[in-house]
Amino acid sequence: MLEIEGVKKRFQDTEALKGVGFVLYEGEVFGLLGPNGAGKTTLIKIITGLIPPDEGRVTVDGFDVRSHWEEVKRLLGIVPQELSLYPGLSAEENLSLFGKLYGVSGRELKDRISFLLSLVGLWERREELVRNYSGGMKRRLNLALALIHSPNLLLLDEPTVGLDPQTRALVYDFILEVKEKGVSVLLTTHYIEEAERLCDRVAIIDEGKIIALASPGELIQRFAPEELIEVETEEELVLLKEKLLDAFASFSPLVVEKKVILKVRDGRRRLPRIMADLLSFGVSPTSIHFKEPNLEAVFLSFTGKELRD
Amino acid sequence: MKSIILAFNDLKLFFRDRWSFLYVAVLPIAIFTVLALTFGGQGKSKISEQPIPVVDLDHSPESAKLISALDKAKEIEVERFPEVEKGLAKVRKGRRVLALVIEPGFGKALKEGRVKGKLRVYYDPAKEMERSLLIGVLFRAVWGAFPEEFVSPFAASAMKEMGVPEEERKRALSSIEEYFKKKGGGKTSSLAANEMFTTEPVVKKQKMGKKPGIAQAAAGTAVMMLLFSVIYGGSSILRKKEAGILRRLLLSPISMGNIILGRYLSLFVIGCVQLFTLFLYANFAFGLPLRAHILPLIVLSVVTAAAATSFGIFLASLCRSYRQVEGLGTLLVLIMSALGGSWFPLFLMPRFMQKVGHFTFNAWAMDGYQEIFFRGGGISDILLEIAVLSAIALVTVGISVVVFSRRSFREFLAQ
Repeated sequence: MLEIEGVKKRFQDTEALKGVGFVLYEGEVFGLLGPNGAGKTTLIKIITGLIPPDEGRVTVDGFDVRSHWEEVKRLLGIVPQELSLYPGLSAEENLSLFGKLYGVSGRELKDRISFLLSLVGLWERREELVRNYSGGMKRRLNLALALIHSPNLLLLDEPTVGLDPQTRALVYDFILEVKEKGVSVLLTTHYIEEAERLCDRVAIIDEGKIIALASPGELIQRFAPEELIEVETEEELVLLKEKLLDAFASFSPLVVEKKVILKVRDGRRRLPRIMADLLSFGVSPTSIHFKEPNLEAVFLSFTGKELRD
Repeated sequence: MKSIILAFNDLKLFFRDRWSFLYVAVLPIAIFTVLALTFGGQGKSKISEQPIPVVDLDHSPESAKLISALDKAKEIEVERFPEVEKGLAKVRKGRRVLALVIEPGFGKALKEGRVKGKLRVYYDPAKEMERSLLIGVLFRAVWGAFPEEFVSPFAASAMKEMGVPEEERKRALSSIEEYFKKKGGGKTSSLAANEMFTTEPVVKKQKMGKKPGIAQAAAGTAVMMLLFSVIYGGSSILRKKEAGILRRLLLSPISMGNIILGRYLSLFVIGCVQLFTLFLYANFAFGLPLRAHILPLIVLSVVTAAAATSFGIFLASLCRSYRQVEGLGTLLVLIMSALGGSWFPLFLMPRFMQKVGHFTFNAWAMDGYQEIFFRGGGISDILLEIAVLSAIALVTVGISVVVFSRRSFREFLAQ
């Protein structure tokens, strides 16, 4: 469905992409997980033909994005980060307009509009002007617009940034439903939960490189099977940093400001001992977080930093 | 104290905003300059230098002396034509207010005191105000050139107005006649000063438009407001950019050219509706005659709307944000309206300002509307205006499509 080979992109002094490549197969939800500035949006822009790569090649269903842009446009449904709706039109009118631009018309267009508005829960308010919608409703319509021409591949660029939990859940349901219909999905995100819950496979990207690619379960199993123990303290740990790194070396410790993070297999059993050791160094914990193995730990294991850094 | 801090902060923000500065300083100065140049006249005359076609059919020393006197008048510029028709053509087309024809035998008639019918003024009836001012200038020039021929009737009229008894008047006039005879001059004219010229309109009454004042107000307002509409309409392309809609449109199977053309067509229709609505209102409320001019009015309004729309889109293509379009657009529309004759007829302006005015689209549209409403012109009379406005429309929209297309990938999409 989507093939990316050795894509490089440089903006002045910054090398945004350093030879990225992967294949997205038909019908799968593929996640591009990485912190802000990792190169996700640059890659999306290249896939959608908005900017050319310096090197490498991107094809969608065999069409090269650069030489067959018009064909590729029809295969792609794009949900940009920002809202892009006509506020002076109703939801129905917005969908109808974009449907016609893609050449959908008549009965097919009506059916499509009806299906999509029901899918995003806006059927009852289809005739209301978009400017009167809540932020969440606008987001839902923004998603529906990307599907009006029945694309083969849906690109979602950070679709849940800034959303309330209820709308975020609705977006998750939407993506899973779209997958059910056989549409392939490329999703960029920096939310662990999103990637774990929705994606069949995840590529972890950092500083313009893909550092790991597999299913979420496989990534966790292979690269971060340990639980994460996060201990927050009252004081800055700068002076104790060296001692703590030495003492907990077997747990791949990370000491950041007022936080110590340890990767521990069978962590629940070992927790009392670890706490006793920390207290012996004069560390006074204010809170302890215990995290099951997840993609964040995978990211941490590769980069030595947290995903939200 | 807190209020002062806030006031300073407001002032700082104000001076950082270039558009606010344009509104507050540049716009008033620009408009004042146009008005001052138009109405100021440096306190010397009420009319700017006007070209007047003069046809000398007499070729006598007297006619030469008259033309020389006209040449010296600051308010007019003599354009010599050998034939009457050539001289009148410019008046007929509305390019000149009046033409002076010195009939054969003027010199001889002047010596005999029978000037009536020898100085003919052919005028454009649509330019009533300007005509009366120019005839005053002509009168002064003629009287200055031949004072002895015209002094008696003027003195008679003045003494009568002052209530000088008839006997006294006769005696005084006789002395004047005696004085000029001794000087070797001819017989003084028996014409009253205001009968020096025989005047005749060059456009027939039945063809001439009615209510030129209403027509000027309607056309001027229509053209100016049309420009405002298209400026704000054109800026919507950049609003779409900022709202992300342009990006989504460009990601659908549609080109920048399609988007510009779509916006162009909608603005063009709105512009036509706006122009016709205003003319219809002027017709119903103020009796502006439309029926007699309907075809040329429709054609001119269509090309005017097309040119204005192109201008709006063109301006948007040069600006970075819709705020910039609206700020700069307001400034340009007001200046173009003042220079282009939307506020007051162009003939009130100095000649160089009239020339500058014709760099604006307003002047060409106003020329066309004046031809239709003032002189009852048909399509053949406004071909030049139609051609210029059409050229403005095509050139500016063409440039806009190229500029927008070049900008699209660079900044609209890659934002």
